[in-house]
Amino acid sequence: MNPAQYREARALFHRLADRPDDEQRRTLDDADLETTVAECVRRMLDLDPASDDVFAEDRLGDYGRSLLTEEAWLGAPLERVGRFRVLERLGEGGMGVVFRALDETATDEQPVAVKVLHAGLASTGLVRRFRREAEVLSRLAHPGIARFLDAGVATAVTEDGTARPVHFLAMEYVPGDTILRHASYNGLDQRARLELMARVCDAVYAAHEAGIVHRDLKPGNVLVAPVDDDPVGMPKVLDFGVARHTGEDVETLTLTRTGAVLGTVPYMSPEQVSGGELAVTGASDIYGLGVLTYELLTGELPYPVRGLPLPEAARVVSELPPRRTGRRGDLDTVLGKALEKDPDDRYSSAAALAADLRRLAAGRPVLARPPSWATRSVRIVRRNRALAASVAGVVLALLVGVVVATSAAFREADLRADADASAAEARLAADVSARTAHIARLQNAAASLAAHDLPHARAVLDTCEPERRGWPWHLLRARLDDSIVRTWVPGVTKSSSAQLLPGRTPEEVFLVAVSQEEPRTASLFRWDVRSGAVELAWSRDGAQGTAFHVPTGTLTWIGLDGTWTREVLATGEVLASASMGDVDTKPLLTVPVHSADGVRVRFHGDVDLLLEWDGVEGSAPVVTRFPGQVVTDDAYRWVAWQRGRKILLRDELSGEERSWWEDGRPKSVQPDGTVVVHLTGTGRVALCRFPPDGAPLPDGAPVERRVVQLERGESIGDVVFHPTGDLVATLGGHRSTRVWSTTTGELLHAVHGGSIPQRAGLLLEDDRLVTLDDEGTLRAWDLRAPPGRLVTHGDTVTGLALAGDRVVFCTHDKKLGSVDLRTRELHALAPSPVDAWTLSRVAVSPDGRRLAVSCLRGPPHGRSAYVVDLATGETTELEERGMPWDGNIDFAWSPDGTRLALQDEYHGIDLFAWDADGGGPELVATSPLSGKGVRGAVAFSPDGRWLAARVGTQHAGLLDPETLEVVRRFPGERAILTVIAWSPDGTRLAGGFRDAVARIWSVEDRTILQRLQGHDRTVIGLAWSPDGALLATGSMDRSVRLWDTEHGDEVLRLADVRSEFRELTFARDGECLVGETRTGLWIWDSADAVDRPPVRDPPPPSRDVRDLVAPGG
Amino acid sequence: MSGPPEVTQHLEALARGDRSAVDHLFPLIYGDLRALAGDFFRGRGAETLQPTALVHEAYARLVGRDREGWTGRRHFYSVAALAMRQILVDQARARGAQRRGGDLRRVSLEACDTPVAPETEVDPLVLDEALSALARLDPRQARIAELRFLTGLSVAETADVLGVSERTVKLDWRMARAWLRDALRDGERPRDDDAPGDGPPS
Repeated sequence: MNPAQYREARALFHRLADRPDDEQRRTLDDADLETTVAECVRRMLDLDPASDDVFAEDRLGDYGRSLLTEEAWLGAPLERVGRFRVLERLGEGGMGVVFRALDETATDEQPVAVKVLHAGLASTGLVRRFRREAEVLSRLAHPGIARFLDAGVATAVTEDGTARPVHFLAMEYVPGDTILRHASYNGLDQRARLELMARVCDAVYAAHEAGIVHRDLKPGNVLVAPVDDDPVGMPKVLDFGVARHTGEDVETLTLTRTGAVLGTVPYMSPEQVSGGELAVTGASDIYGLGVLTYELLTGELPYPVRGLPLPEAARVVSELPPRRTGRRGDLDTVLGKALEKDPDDRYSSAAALAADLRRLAAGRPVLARPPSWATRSVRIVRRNRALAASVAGVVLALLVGVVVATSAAFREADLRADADASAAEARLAADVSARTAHIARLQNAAASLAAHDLPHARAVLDTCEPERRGWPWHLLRARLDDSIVRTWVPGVTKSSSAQLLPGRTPEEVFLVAVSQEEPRTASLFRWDVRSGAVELAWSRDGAQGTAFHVPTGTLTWIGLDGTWTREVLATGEVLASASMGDVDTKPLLTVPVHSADGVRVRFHGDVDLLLEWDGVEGSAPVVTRFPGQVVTDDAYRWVAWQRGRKILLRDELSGEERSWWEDGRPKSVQPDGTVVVHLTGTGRVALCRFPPDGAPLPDGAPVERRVVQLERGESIGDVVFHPTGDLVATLGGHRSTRVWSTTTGELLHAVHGGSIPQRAGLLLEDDRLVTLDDEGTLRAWDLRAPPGRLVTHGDTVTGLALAGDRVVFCTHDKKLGSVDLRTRELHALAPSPVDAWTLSRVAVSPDGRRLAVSCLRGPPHGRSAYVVDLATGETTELEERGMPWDGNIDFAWSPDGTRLALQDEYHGIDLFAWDADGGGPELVATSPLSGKGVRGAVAFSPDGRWLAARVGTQHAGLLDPETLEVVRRFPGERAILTVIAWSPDGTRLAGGFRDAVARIWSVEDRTILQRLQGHDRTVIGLAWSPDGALLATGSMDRSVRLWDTEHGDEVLRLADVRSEFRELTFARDGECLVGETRTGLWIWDSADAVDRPPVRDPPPPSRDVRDLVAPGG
Repeated sequence: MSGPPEVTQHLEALARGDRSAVDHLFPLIYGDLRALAGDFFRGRGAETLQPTALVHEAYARLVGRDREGWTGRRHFYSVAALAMRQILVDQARARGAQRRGGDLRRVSLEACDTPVAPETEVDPLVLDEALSALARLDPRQARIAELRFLTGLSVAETADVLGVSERTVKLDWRMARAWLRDALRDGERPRDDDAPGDGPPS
């Protein structure tokens, strides 16, 4: 019997199994069959009837269960493996179990590690890999590599005396922790960590010298044994399980030549993840060492690839530059060289990397050079093309079965079936893979945005294929810069010194910039924060430092020759001008500082002295020397300077001097004497303040410290305080600009945009944040209106409806409002024309003529509904028939605006109609289909031919819009339907269900086209994008998700949501998605923040409901 | 909750048609099933363990509970069924070794003290060989036998894992069952199948 014959027999069996005996016999006798086949079918049919044997239907699984008994499973613990006496079980992995054991033949009592292969794997290719590790290890002798002792097959004896043969590998037992844990438990500093990594490099170098590439370097494979008198410890590289010889022959290559990726993704080099096994050389280990170094020193991975699907991880690692560590010095240069995409660009050997790590540790210059950016970008482009092609090539090759895996599990027949896969299927699969990759990119970018890792988010978004970029992409893209005003200031460059000052009105901000390039121009700009208009108010060439005193409108600037001038901005009148005198270091005094009243001026710079002019014309400046460099001299009263690891602060009013130890550099002093200290190496900012009475704090500390935790290793541009002192903003860092509470240290806002770090910043009274970035762009953010959220008077929004370019909403507080989605302007917040307790739902007719509102009124009305004629302002209350409406009321307008379907929770649907002359409404039809427990289960089709409604509790149905009779039913899947929405073209219907699934039906054939699964709780809101390509779903699980309606993929989950979204709608132009929640109205806007008009203060409430909708709808 | 990313990644590779991913999945799933069962037995008395529950639990651990409709799920169950089969064979071997001092011979399960149905006089090693022989003739039927008989999945679950209709599963299972009955009849080991006319029926 061969497979082809068996297939034929199978076909016959399927056909005959349920036929009567005589028919079976006749068919088999009559058919022209090979004897083997006919015999086989006869035999199978004979043996087919159910019998009470082990295969009986009600016993399935029992057989497996009977074998899975405790006794059988655990067996007796192992007592010995060959000559090794087992002491302790250390752990169990996929391949086997590792024990600590003693070699009974050895004279010393040194424990050894014995790895025993799982019995079940002995028949697979893994046993060869296991042997291989032993073989590789046996060739290596280095203190940094766990020493090989013995390997082979030995008899394992359990405690109850039974014996069986096992594959084992005995090696040196390392009594230590993994490298990351070792470093953190022992509190190793950066220098010790660098030395530790250098020792790992030494060991890997030794392996390379012996012709062995490890290929799976990761923290779990490097243990560190403690060493007396050496806190660094001795690293031991383990697990050469996937290692291979560099000079390998083809036969051994197939052992690991699997096309799929061996090793652990975050630690793998681009050539490893892209599947080019042949390209894996010692340079791949250099890369792995680079990743390990990166993680050991920063606690993070250079690429955030954890949890990504393999093709996407491969792409990230192959295309994106590693995240910068943000550390000072050459660390980024060394890591950059170890992590180069092209193996040829990496360190030539592990020894060279070790040498540079040791140079870093010693603070000496490293040999690695940052690559030239010009050549690098050209090469990256070139290489990306090649890599993209090679990854696609591997996927295709696998699909058509060119690469034959050495799989013990799936046998030849399966593989043969694979080889038949057509090219069309391969293309389809390639498309699926590209789509999956695109979605993974979007999710990766969203995660990076949530972590405020803007450079990475930008890089990921930039690599999305242009033809796949849709609304979700633009939404994420817009979050890269959410400043609402941006103005580029000409002439301000990266090298300019810059200072931002609050103006005399909330709209005004001054920028003082001094260019460091010839002709050294000092400029004063006036910027209107609301309009973005910038105006050059004053400028001088040949200036050094310049200060502007806003209240008096006076300027002080220092010329290149050391003379200083004080003048009135408005008139240009010179108040004073003098030389610095004969102080020998005067050229270094470049920073003028005004006293708070603007009378006196001080000058300081990078020297240990201050020059002070008392403002009296003709008097000479007084020189004060400081025993350290003056770091900051803000607001005139305070002078802070640094001496060694001490910070000194002098109160100029009282003459008191204080000092305290601080491992950091003072950045600024606030008017209340708070010193902002950037703590060295930790990426934290400390706010230090002396108690007001000068007494030590209860714990004896001289200063009160509050620490703001930035990213690890982050360096920031500046720290600025809000005038009230409650907020502090850290500018840039290697991520975003963030605003913190000074009292709790809590992160309040993170705003995106501009170069990183920013040069200068300012927090204004009205909670606007203003910054200047390295490219000379001024930006403003409104911290009161975080991106995506619109302020709606703090009311709970209960319902919304799209009306042309506006969204009309109603509130719990019985008001009606609308927002123009083009201008984001709030139009009216009018009281309900009918007195009610609360408003619960609104609907605007598609012609914009009528507005339907449902509300809860006091007795005797209960639930009621009214319709406002938006042309005349006339309000008509809808009349219920006999029974009062109860529960939620939902509306649906016919497309022509002449019919309104009203559904309540208990009684059903009432259809109201208006005639052409505007007469009505008249109740024209009723249906008992009620919406129990539902909010939004009626909807007119876009062409008005059908009314969709819930039928029963689980089905959607189409109703005749005249008679309300059910004419078509859509299958449910035993879940309660909660909401219905038509696709814009009317060909599909989406339903939200209580089983957390949204389903899409084809209207034509009533089949379920997609099941959108991902939510955790009931789906309660649905919105189709205008092109029908996306569906947004809101759920009780408090998330809003976007789905690709064609393929059913979850594209994006919208973050920042803290409350469930019930009603959702896309704007008519598809630019934004609006959602309604208890905390207000949210707008997810795919347009650039600058293109949106700024959020304005809401207009005074209008009394006229007609203002809600723009004239002409 | 989601498990180690490599399991998901290998499953996705397998879903794309990369058979070699089985090489990586097999040890991971095998190891996890073993560890889970170990935990189970260490934590409780001498209860028996339902293979279906074991596989479901392994899926939740290695892939995540929230990934119900995902395509990689099917592949997980396929590989898990294989691992299950291997584990059962290991058990039988271990037991054989235990009783006969290392001599791998068939053992009647009735000899064990565990409460089993009298009909389960099937030697796991013989069954394993029979399944291997069936897989050479018809891999799908072998897979169905593993999923239904060894793992205890229902017809619907099996259909879902294999991506075929429930009717196909039912009919294939009936034929596979007949074939296995034939192969296991009188405890006879099925012969190799390459020559026409060989194998059941002989």
